[in-house]
Amino acid sequence: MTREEIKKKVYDISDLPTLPDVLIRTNKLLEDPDTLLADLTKVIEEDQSITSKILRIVNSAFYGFSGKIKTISQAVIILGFNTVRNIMVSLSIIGTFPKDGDLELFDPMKFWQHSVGCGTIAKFLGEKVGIDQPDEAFVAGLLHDLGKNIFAQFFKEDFFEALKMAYEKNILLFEAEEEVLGSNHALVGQYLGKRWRLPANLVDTIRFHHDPSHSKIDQDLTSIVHIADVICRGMGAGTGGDNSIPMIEEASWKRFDLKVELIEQWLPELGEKVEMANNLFSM
Amino acid sequence: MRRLKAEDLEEGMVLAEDIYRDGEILLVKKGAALTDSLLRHISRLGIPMVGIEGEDENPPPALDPEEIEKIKDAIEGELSAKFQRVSKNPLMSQLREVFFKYLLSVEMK
Ligand SMILES: [Fe+2]
Ligand SMILES: [Fe+2]
Repeated sequence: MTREEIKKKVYDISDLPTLPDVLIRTNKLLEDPDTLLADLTKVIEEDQSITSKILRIVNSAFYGFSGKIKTISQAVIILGFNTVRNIMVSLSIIGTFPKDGDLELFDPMKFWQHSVGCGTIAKFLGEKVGIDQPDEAFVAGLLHDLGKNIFAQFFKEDFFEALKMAYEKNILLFEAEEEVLGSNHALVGQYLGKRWRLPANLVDTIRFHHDPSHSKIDQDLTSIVHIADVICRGMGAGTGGDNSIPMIEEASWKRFDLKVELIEQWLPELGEKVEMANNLFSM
Repeated sequence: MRRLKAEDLEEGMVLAEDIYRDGEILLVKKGAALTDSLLRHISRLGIPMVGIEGEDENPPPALDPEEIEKIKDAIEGELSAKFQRVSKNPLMSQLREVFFKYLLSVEMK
């Protein structure tokens, strides 16, 4: 298949995973400058399940406001619209990840752990190096390999070939996908991100997480996720369907003035955070 | 000191290390005895492990050197596969060393 054929197929799939209604309505409200806090909280609170999950997360050590936030409006006032929306997106994404699959070599649980791990590490790094919105880095990390889900669900046979090739030749899944499918999960994830109308910088991160220097919109976010992906693989947190580690682009590493010693120092805490996040965002 | 999982903590146990929230804000200093409300706080925060005064009742048997070598070999094997294609890059090889130490420390816990 060619890139164009795959792109067309992805755009044509009628039963692509969808984001929940509450998120779509929230996003619409957030685009409207006249939206009042009360309108927003009403929409969210109508969905009791997401409301209780949001409150559980904002009150966990992950966000550090333990047991003080009792309502969505408090959460929005204390943490800001963006953070609450990012939590909603994260929770919504869980629902779009397949929980079981018959593809040998691609275990949905382990793939989810890779995504959560990468998100957690990206958020942590983002806080340490001081990027604009570290909790956006969490969402970006959760989403970065989104395209693999599309391959696993809608291009099963070819994807299986790519997985096999990645393990047999010990190359990156990304490269094996190019050989077998003529496209890759970064591109396919971008198509889905666009269909979902995700913010442009998130789509950009999905697209360029393997070559962040090509990112045109948000090099900070893309580079953080790129590095987090490598650390996540090194720590052995979940797996993304291959057993090889990509090279960190020099420009990304230098961008934040990172040091190997810092990573070494952070790893034990990262391990605990990843465990915490896996409990908090379990499927 | 022994390290216990949050769910194995009991009232009256004495903390052997400070508890931080998010690794930054000091919540409780070591030496404090666990109270019911502290226990609930710890579980709410999702803190996985807590250091407690006293000896482990059944300490894990010390690993014999042979066992440790086996663990090291396993980690080494895993990392050399993962890093095979980037082994010539200085940054990546330094990171590999760091991951090795980390993974070993996790295994030895
Ligand atoms: Fe990827
Ligand atoms: Fe990844």
